Amino acid sequence: MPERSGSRKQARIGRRTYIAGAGAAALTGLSGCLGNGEGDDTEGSGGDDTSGGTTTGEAGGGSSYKIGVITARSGSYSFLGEGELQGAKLAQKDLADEHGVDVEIVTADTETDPNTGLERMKRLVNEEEVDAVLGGVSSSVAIKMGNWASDNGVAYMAAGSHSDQTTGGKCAANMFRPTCSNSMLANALGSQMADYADSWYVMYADYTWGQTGRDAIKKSVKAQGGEITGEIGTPFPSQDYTQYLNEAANSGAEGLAVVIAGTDQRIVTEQFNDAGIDMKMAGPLFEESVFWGVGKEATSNVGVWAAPWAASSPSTEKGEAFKQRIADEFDASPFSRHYMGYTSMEQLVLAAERAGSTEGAEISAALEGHELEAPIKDGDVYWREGDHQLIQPVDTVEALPQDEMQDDPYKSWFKHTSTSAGDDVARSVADTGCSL
Amino acid sequence: MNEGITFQERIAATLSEQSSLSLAVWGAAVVLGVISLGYAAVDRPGLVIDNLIGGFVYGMILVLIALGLALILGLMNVVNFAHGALFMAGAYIAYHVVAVLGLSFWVALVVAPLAVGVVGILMEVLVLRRVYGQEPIVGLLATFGMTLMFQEAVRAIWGSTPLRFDTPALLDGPLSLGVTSVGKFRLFAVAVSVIAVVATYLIVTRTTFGLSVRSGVQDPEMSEFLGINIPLRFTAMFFLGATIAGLGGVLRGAEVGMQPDLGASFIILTFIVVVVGGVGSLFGSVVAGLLIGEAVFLFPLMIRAMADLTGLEFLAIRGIGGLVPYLVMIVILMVRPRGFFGTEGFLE
Repeated sequence: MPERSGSRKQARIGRRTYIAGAGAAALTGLSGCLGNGEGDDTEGSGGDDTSGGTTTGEAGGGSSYKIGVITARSGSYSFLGEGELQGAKLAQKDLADEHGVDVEIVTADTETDPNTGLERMKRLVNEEEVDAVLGGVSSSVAIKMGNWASDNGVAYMAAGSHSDQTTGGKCAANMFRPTCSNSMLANALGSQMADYADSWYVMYADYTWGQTGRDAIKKSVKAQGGEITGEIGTPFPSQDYTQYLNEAANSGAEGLAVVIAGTDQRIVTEQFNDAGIDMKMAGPLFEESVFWGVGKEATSNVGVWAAPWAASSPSTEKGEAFKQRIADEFDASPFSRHYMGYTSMEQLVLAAERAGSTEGAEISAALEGHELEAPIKDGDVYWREGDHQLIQPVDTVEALPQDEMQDDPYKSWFKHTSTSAGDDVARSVADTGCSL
Repeated sequence: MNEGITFQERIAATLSEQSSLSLAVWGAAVVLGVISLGYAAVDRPGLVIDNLIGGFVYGMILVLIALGLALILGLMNVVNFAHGALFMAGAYIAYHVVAVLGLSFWVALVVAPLAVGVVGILMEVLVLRRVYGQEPIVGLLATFGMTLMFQEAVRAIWGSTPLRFDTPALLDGPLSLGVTSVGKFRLFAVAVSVIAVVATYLIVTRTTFGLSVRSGVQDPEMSEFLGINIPLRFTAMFFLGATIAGLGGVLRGAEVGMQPDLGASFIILTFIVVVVGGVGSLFGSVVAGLLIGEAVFLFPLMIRAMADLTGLEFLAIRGIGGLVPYLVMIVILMVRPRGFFGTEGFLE
């Protein structure tokens, strides 16, 4: 059910008239003066005919947008959310410098709770009147927010959501995913895992991202001739993974596939090393910053991983500069979440510019099938029409020996081992279960 | 027929029937538990031993984290929600000592808890003295506010990126116990927990200082009349509780690193330990910590065994480990509403 507030709908009337060409300045004033009677025109009309709340400029150079960045600012994923925000801020700067577009960022904390995320999303849209929203680390949070946003005509970039469901069974008309899906990551990693160890035990975070990651890893490893000896779901978050590691160690498998993210991935790695478990390790979601919290010695033993993006990923000229700029701007080392935040902000705003509108449906139309002119990754990168997945190259990485790990000008502790073309590793649209 | 039975006798008979039924239910549960654990031990002996030892180690770590909370809650009647923040502060100060100042882990192990203890003194003097004698909710809200302040201060000083610091090579890697291997650092944490528990128990029960604090809790007016400086002793006790929290933080930070929400992830669990053990009882917290540690590690194996034995696959609920502390709390409070060794009238 559409839940946008009345005041929001009043702004929509102004925007639609504006899009029809009545003149930006006059309509900006009008949208602020319209009464309730005008707003009732769209009451109950569904979300797709809405537009943003505060864009005041004309389409093209000189426009301004208010973008919500809603991500994990506290909890297990907070440091990942911080990366997304920093990436978005860098894109904000580039949009101003290169396109003359003024972007105002409004932030909100999803924590790691879908209901909290949804409540904050509603607040961003209805009270802050943002034009579009990006962000999200936990897939269950992102999916819930994205479906509400779509129902209410707001474009949403599920910046860091990797569950297959995001562009699968729970895809939504105005929700887009700028990072890789679990299937893309697992398919890119599968052959490397099968070469690395003959049998695998899968330990996964027991919610939508972990479950779809588990399925993707199992399918990919089996397809490459590897064996899956067992699996165990873990509560997330958790303070201690020793009991699950004990299960893995007693499974007889040669390797442990870890489908756990955030600070919990770090705890798993630390406890895996401390217990001296004699297994190889791999995982479908490489977040380099996790391993900075583990230390070089332990990191040098963590095996092979699939990466949405990494400091060692082959990049375009813009991408190489991006790595250095993250270090310069934020005194931080670049990692995948910077890429996700940057791409989300850039793509949302440029799509709004192309559409000449902040209406969710218009932004969606401008994104579908669009090929990125200046991507960070080196290779073909485009928005797939049928499921709103950003098709892009997928990299795999492997830990460097300690003495080869780079710390300056930014940390880069892993070497790139392979790249798969996005079209080769993504499920077909028909297989996703998404029906847009 | 019933004319000769008084109202009191009918009540007594009903209670007796219910008591018998209750005993039968609990007896059946215990028998089922023993059978399933026995089956698991036969079916997967290596894993049961691993988890038995793992549960003990985890339980002792919980005991250390809960000890300071139990002390402050038990003796001073303050629901210190900031205990988790003090725990987190211990980890970050240790990081600063080792990774930033370049000093040894052993220095951090002493300095960081003491520094957290000083923070505890400031908390007690500046804030908590104003809430003594008021409803527990007042102290809880005050300490919750301080938790938020601590978290943001940590974020501002050290950032939100996960951090870690090196531990001595002596404590790295696993130690073989014959039947299984356990991380040396976890065993070190157990040893520190045991020392902290024993030392705290002795301070509270065998010293004049401990006696004067307990007397101050029971009858502050009379104690002060006898010349005991109660505010000073409460401050010292808060220092002790905060120091133990800091010590737990140092050990946790050294084991798996830290981030600003480190304390929040443990605070609920430590409250469960204190409640199950019985508010006001240090010994109860030790028992509860160990029980919860073992339950978290063994219960999933037991329900797996029960599912195998009965063929009822739905019994083996996946990922139930996270719920086990809450289940333990529910069960214990049903049998003993004040926890294992709770004191009548405390916080009631």
